[in-house]
Amino acid sequence: MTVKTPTSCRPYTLGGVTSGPPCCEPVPHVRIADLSVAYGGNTVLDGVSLDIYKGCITALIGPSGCGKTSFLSALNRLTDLIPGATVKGKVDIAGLDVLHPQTDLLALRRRVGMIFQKPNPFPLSIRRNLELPLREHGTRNRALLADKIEAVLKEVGLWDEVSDRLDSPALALSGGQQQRLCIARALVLEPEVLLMDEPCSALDPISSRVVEELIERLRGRLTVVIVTHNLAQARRIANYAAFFWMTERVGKLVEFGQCIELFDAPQSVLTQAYVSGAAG
Amino acid sequence: MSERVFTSAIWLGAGVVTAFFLWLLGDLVWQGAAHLSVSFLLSDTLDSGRSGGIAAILLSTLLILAVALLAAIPLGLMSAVWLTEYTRRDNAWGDAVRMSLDVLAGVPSIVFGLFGNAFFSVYLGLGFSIVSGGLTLACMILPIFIRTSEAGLSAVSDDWRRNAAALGMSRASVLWHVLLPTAAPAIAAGLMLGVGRATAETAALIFTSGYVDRMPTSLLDSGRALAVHIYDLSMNVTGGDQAAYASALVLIILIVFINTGAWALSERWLARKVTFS
Repeated sequence: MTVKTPTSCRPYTLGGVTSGPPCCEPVPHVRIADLSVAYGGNTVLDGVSLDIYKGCITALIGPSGCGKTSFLSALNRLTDLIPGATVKGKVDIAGLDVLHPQTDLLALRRRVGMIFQKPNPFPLSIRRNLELPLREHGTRNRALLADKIEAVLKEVGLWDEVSDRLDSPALALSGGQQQRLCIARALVLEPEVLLMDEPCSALDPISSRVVEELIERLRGRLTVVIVTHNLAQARRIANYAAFFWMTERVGKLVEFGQCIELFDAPQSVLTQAYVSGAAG
Repeated sequence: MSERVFTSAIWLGAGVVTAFFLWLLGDLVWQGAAHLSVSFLLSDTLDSGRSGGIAAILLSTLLILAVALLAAIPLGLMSAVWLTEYTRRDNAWGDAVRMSLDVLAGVPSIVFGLFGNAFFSVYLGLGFSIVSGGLTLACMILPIFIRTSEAGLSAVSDDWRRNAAALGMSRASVLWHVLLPTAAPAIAAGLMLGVGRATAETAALIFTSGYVDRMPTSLLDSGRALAVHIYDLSMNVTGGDQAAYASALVLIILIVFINTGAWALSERWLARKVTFS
């Protein structure tokens, strides 16, 4: 594995990323050490060590089945929901020992939001979708709820589209709108880390672009970890990239570094082959 | 040719079933409607049911049903939730519970009646009473109710469970706000199957809530259920046929009412809590 800790403060300009505060000071936010995930004794991800930097967008790339989603799910302990899953190693999010058995999962997941591949609003109204997590975490004041909901809907660019029908079913929205609602639902809890598992892959190109722009706007405020199979998308939005590969059915981290370097000057032949489209 | 024979056979099969049902219903309405009146519903039973009405019997039936539902709904929902949300699908203990429920669902009602008599009436000392009868019916409703509710809950997409977990929502609130409302139609259907079975029940009630056709004054009084009344009138009381027909008609109307009511309630609950596109 090749990990290059960036030292130079090079502004990231590839692919039209010009907005958002520069994030060239690599401050580790999520520190992962020797992480491995197994399902029912079958190791699917092994020995991943990696620092994810604060306020940056880190893309996880690699072929299907190489453990990217397992990696992501270990960061908010969603692996706990999978029968027979075991996670070993250490994950530290700003001092919080994620994998410690006594860690308060509800509080952890409030700090670490997650977006899934398939947009999945609850079968409730648009408003209730956003109210539910807020109420769950103690916000009950109606005016405050309304303010937060409006702010977050504006943030994801849905306000103008849905402000007149907040009480209509969320499932009546288009796929792209549903995904933005899911992002809003995660953001409304003001998480510090946002995990995204192929958030655009179920969307049409236009909706995908809208969601992508939304992710770019999060840069600097949140630490975003995004799994994507769309290499062009990774190039466009990510500051850092981690390349996973599967050897003998076990996923491993092959290379991690600044996105621009991983794509243009990969250290590993595997990365070279994958990003150039020759393997994977 | 064979296509036409096949089609005719299908139509014939469906036709025979429908015809029998219509005949039964028609006969019931034809024979019972004449005897059915408001005073029949509201007056006391006289001369073993040959004359008078069914006020006490109607009230007893509703009370028995209420006791049964009050006991069965919370217990049943909790069991269904335990089976779907708190045990793994391959859990041996869960499988054992499922299997016992399936066996129980097929047990003849007379066996429930004898159990209810031995356990509720005698062992717990509740005697021949509305409570004993209601609790016995609850035992009968539970297997069907739990299994249907479980199926309803299992059918709710796991994506919502994952999403809710990822939002840091507790299991209880996911259940309350997302899973139960989404599964409400299945739960209501299970309840209807159970209530239908319970309302029409005779064997389980004869030994538990008893025969007494007086107006019950408390839940510990014996009370005669409609089905028991019909059975008694048609089997043991000569000259009670007219009243039996009328009571049977009331029973059918009652079941239709309860079914529509529960269905409407679940729809309303669904519309309030959950909105589908």
